[in-house]
Amino acid sequence: MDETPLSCDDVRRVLARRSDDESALDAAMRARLDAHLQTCAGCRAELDTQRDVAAWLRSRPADRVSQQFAARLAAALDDATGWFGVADWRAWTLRLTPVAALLAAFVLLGSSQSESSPTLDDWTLDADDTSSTASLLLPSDDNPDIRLDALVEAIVTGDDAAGSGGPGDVGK
Amino acid sequence: MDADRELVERAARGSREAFDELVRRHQSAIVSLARALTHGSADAEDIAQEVFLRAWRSLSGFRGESAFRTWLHRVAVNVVHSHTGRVSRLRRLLLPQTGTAEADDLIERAPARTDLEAETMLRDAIDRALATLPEELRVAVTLRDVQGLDYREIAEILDVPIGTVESRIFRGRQRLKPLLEPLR
Repeated sequence: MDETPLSCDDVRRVLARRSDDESALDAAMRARLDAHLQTCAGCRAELDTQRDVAAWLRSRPADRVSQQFAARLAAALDDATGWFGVADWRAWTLRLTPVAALLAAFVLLGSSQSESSPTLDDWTLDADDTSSTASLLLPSDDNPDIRLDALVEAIVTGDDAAGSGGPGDVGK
Repeated sequence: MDADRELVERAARGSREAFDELVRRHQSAIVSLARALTHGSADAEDIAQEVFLRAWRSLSGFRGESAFRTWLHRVAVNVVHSHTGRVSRLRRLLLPQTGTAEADDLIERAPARTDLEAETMLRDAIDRALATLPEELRVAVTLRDVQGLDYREIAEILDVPIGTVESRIFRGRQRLKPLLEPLR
C-alpha cells in the first residue's frame, strides 16, 4: 500500500469529490488524504470552500415552468412530426411495413395461380380475329385504309368492333 | 436500471404519449439547466423546447447505453452551447464599438428583476455568479451542484475523463466562493 504523503496539489485534485462523497475514494487514499488535512490548514480551508459553494448552489430554487410551455412544446412537436416525418426514412420504413407485407402476399398469391393465368402466347393477336378493337390495328388485305377509320370510330363511339363486320354491325 | 427505459422504448417507436410523459418528468430540470447556464435568460424555455424537439427527432438513434436523463442533459448542453455562441456573435454584431467590459455590464443588467421575491433574488444571484465562469467550468459545476448529476454522468455528457470533471468542479467552486459568500 502506498503511504507516501500527499502534496497539496495531489489533495486538491480529489478534494471536490471528497467534499461531495467520502466513499468515492478508496480507504487507503482516504487515510492519506485525512493525514494531509490534519496538518494543512490551507487544504482544510479549501475543503470547506468546496462544501460551502456546493451547498449554496444546491440551494438554488428550482425554476418554475410556465403553463404555456407544455402547449407550445406540443404544438412544436406536432409540426416537427408532420414535416420531419416526411424526411425520416426510419419512420417511413416502419409505416410502410404493412404495405410491403401486403404486396409480398399478392406476389406470392399471383405466382401460385400462374398456371391458370394467361401466358404471353394468349395475348398474341390473331389476324383472323376481328372481334376486338386491338385486331383493327392488324393490316387487312381488303382495305388497308378502313382499319384506321374503324379504329377512330371505335374510340369515339365506344363500339368495340365498329366497322369491322363484327357483332356491333348487326342490324345497321 | 433507467427509470425511463420503458417510456423511451415506446417513444422511440413513435408514441407521443410516452414522449409527453418523458417531457413532464424532465422539463423542470432542463429549464433549470438552460436558465442556470444562460444567466437566467428569458430564452430558457425556448432552449428547453429545442432540447425536447431534438430529443424527439433523435430518439430512434438513442441506443440506451446511458440513462435517458444523461443523454437528455448532453443534448441540452449542446443546445445551450449553440445558443450562447449565437448570443455572443449577436453581441459582437450589435455592440461593435462597445468594449467587452461595457457589453458584459449591459448584459449583466439586462435580466435584473424589480421583483423582490427572495426566491427569485437568490436564483438570480446564483445565475449571475455562474455566468462569470468560463463555459467549461460553468457547465461542470452546474451539472454537479444545480442538477445533482454524479461525476460519472458528467464525464459521459462532456466526453472527458472523470479527473477532468473533478478538476473543473474544483476550480469552478473556488472562483464562485467570493461571489456567493454574501449569500451566507
